[in-house]
Parts: sequence; C-alpha cells; structure tokens
Amino acid sequence: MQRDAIPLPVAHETALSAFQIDQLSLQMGHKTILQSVNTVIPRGSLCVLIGPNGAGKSTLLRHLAGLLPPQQGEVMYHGQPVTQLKARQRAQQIAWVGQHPPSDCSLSIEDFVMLGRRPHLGRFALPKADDRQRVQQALQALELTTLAGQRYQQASGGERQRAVIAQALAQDTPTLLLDEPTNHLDLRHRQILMQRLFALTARGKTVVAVLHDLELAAKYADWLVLLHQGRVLRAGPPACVLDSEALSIAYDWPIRVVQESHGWRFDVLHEVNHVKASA
Amino acid sequence: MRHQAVGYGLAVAVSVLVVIVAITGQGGLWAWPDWQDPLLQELRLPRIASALLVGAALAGSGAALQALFRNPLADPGLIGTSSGAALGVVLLIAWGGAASFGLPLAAFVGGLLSTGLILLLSRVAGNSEAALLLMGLVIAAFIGAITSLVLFLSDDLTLRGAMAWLAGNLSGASTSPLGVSAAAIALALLLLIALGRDLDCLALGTDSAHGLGLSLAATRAWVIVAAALATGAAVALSGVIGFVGMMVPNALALVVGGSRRRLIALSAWLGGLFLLAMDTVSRLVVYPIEIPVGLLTAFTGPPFFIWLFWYRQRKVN
Repeated sequence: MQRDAIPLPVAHETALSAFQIDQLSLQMGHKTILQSVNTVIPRGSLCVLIGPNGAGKSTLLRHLAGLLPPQQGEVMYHGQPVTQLKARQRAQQIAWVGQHPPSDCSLSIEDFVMLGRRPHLGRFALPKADDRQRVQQALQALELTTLAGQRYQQASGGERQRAVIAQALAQDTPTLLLDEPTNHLDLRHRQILMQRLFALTARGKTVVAVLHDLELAAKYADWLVLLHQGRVLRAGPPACVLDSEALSIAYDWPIRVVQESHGWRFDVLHEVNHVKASA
Repeated sequence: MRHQAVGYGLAVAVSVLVVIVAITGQGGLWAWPDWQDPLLQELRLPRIASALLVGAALAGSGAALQALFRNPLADPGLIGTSSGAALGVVLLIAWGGAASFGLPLAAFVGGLLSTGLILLLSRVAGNSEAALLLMGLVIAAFIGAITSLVLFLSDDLTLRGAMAWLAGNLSGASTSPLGVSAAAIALALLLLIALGRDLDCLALGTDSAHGLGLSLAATRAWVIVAAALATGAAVALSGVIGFVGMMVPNALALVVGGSRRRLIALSAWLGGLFLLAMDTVSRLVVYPIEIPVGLLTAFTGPPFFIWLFWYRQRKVN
C-alpha cells in the first residue's frame, strides 16, 4: 500500500523525544499486561494511545507518569529515567489525569483546580497572584469560570471531568498525560478539549492521551500508538498507523479506514450474520 | 455567603458566652469575679486556658487524622499517643515519682515514643494507610495491656492516683506546665493547618496525590508527628480525654464544607470551646463534687455517634 512508502519522521533521537520506552514489560500474576514495549513519543506531539480494552493503554500511561515503577525495562523522560525524578520535580514536569474523577472532595471547583499548583508551591507556601491567574486561565480554558464557586461534589460528571483536566492545566507542565479525558464530556466539550490540547502542543508541550474515539484521535493527533495485547502493534504519524488491517486485528472486528479530503473516516462493518448465528 | 456570616457570628457569640460562664460560674452562684482573687488567677484562669488548649489540640488533630486515614472514625487515640502517654504516667506513678513537672513530661515522652514505634512498625507492614491503622490498633492494645498489668501489680494508692489521671480531668491545670504545652499545641496546630492542602490532595486518591508531587510517606510522617505533638501536650495537661477528636470534626463536617485547612482550624476553635463547656458543666452540675471531664465526654460520645449515623442514613434516604 501507499502508506508503507511514507518514511517514518526522524523523531526517534533522544534529544527530540519526550518519552523513550525500552523493553517495558509488566507481569501481574499469570497475566501479561505489557510485553517488551519499545516505542518513542516525540516531544511537542499530540500523541494518542489507541487500542481495545485491556490492551495496556492505561498501564503504559501510568508508567509514563512515573506512578508505576517499571518491573522490566525502562521509561526515559527527556533522556532520564522517569523514576529517578523526585516526586515534586516530576510533578513540575508531568501532569497526569486518571480515568475516574475523584468522588470524595468537599472543595469548591476553584480550590480544587488550585491543588494543581501544589508542585510549584511545595508543602507550605501560599498561592500567589501568579498561581491565581493560572487557575483562572485553566478555568476559562474549560468553560468553568461561572462554576468556580460551586462545590465540586455537587458538579455533574462532565463538570467534574473538566475540573480534573483544569487542575492538570493549572499544573502548567511541559508534558500532560490524560487517560480517557473525553469521558463524560458532551460533543462541544470534547471538541473544545481537543482544541485546547492541540494548542498546547503548538506551544511546544507534549500531550499523551488515551482515547477510544478513533475519529477524534485521527482528527487531532499527530502521533498514534496502537496497542494490542500489551504490545505496540503500530506507532507513528496517523498515516502509518491508521490501516484497515492493523485496526481490524487490534479490535478483532472488521474496520475499513477511509482517508477523505477533510479527514479520516472509520467504517465499522456490521457482522450481522455472525451476531445472529451466535445468538 | 450570608449563611456563613450568620454561622461565624453565632460561633463567636457562643464562644464569648461559654468563656463568661466558665469565669463567673461557681457552685450555683454567678458573680462577676474579683480579678485580684488568687483563686481565679491561679486556679480558674489556667484551667480555662487548659480546657481551650486541650480541646483545640484533640479536635484539630482529629480533623487532620481523619483526612490522612480517609476514615471519619480516626482519632488521636489511633496513632498510639494517648495509650503511650498513659503508660508513661502510670509507670511514673507506680515508681512513686509524681512531681509536678514529671507527670506531663512522662506523658509527653511516652506518647511520642509509642507513636514513633507505630510509624516504624507500619513500614514493616507495607507502609500503607491500612497498615498504619492496623499497627496503631495493635500497638495501642498492647500498650494498654502493659498499663493494665502495671496497675494490677500496684497498690491501692497508686491505682487511685493513676485512675483519676486516666479518666481525664482538668483540675490539675494549675500545676501543669501550661506555657510549654501551649507553645507545643500552637506549633502543632499551625503545622497541621499548613498541611491541610496536602491532605486535600490526598483525598483525590493515591495516584492523583502522587501525580501532584506528594511524597505519601513524608506527608504521613509530617501529619502524624504534628498530631502526636499536639496530643502529647494535651494528654500532659489533662490526662486521657476521649471522643473530642472524633466528635467535633465530624459534627463540623456535616455543616461546613471547604478545605481541610479550614476544617482543622474550625475544629480547633470549636473543640476548645466544647471542652471548656464540658469542663464547666463537670464543675458545676453536682457542686461541690467534680466529675472528671473525660468521663463526661466519654458519656456524650456514644449518643452523638448513634445520632450521627442516624442523621447520615436519613440524609441518604
């Protein structure tokens, strides 16, 4: 196919990579979660991790965040093992947003977002004007300004999700990791979020996100990593990864990838006979 | 906003009222005190100060520990300070040394030692909140057993002295090292309030807290050492007074939201007030006999908790 002919961009050198993952494996009991993952995430890219449930996307992201020390192999961040960074130092570099917004929190949304300044303030310092300004910017970016005084606990699922992302934005790190950030978000806020993330990468920041929505991923990402059963099946610019065969194998479902003038389209073919036969 | 202003106004009014009653009340008589009266200067005012300090220390530590363990039932008794302090005092009394400064010192040292032991042992058990909680329970029970053994082996006089102290009361306030304890409690409470933001981060979950640059072990150690300092100083002033550390923050959390920092500060304020009110009642209710204030709080604790659970349940339904 034509796609195979596109040469991989030379982003593989350490100097240009945000993350370099070498032989990363994780075994939990008898289950293999990650198996010799070798890949590179270029600096300044909007990288999206895609793949079916249980492929190891969240686990890989937690490794990148330094929340899980590698059992085997290594994760290098800007040329340095991520686990070698001290907790606060790492939090000044990398912000991480988990899959589930916390449920137990009595703060107002504004105070909740202010917790994102913790890495810069340390244990005891009080927020200064600059911290407040960054919190206001983060609230604005996710359209939370009018909800700033409301209690986090009384916010809806989507508002909570936006508050969590705003907290990570307030953290103001060169690198942002998000695990399914579009969860609970409506159509408008999905697009707003992706535009904000894209704008961050335009300013040289690196964003790595796990997404299930392939169209959204293809529209905004400039780097994709397709995971399947704990391995990297494909990685590279969308044109190298979005391939009918690879996606069909990964998701175990027939998918046809169509590149159109304005973007990508994914035809998910219905296996009607198959479903009826098994029912 | 208006609710908040009304709440604060009410709290200030009640505070002033409780302090006035505590100063003026004596055996059914309510009279403006003679400020030159040595009885007032040397007995009642130190006692009022101790009640405020001890209540603030216990309730403030309770609010912080409940956030640390993410468990509303956590209490200064859980980190071994109270039981260790009790053992220290009982040992001292059994040895026959109960001079004015020796007693609080023994309480303080005993409390810090047992808390240190629990912190150390919880590392062996995996260094999680659950490990710390279980280790605290186990060690507190173990130290309690040693205390019982010492009491069992001692004579009647020792037993009486020790039991009076263990029940918790503020009548010995005039002989306690008020200045040192006040300084320790003030320092510890300021530390706990400053640690409030880290406790808020902790409420987001372990991973998120980690992602915000929190070192869990360090945060845990800071909070526990500060809480132990406050509790140790409180136990040195008044003996073991239960339930204040659990009751006050939980009751407050029902009506006020906001940051943990705010809850710790408010708990300290209202905890002091609560204990002063209780002590005044214990002084006046069957005058001239004094009930140990620890007994009084222990009696109010269980009904409060039954009410709390009933109220929460009703709110859920």
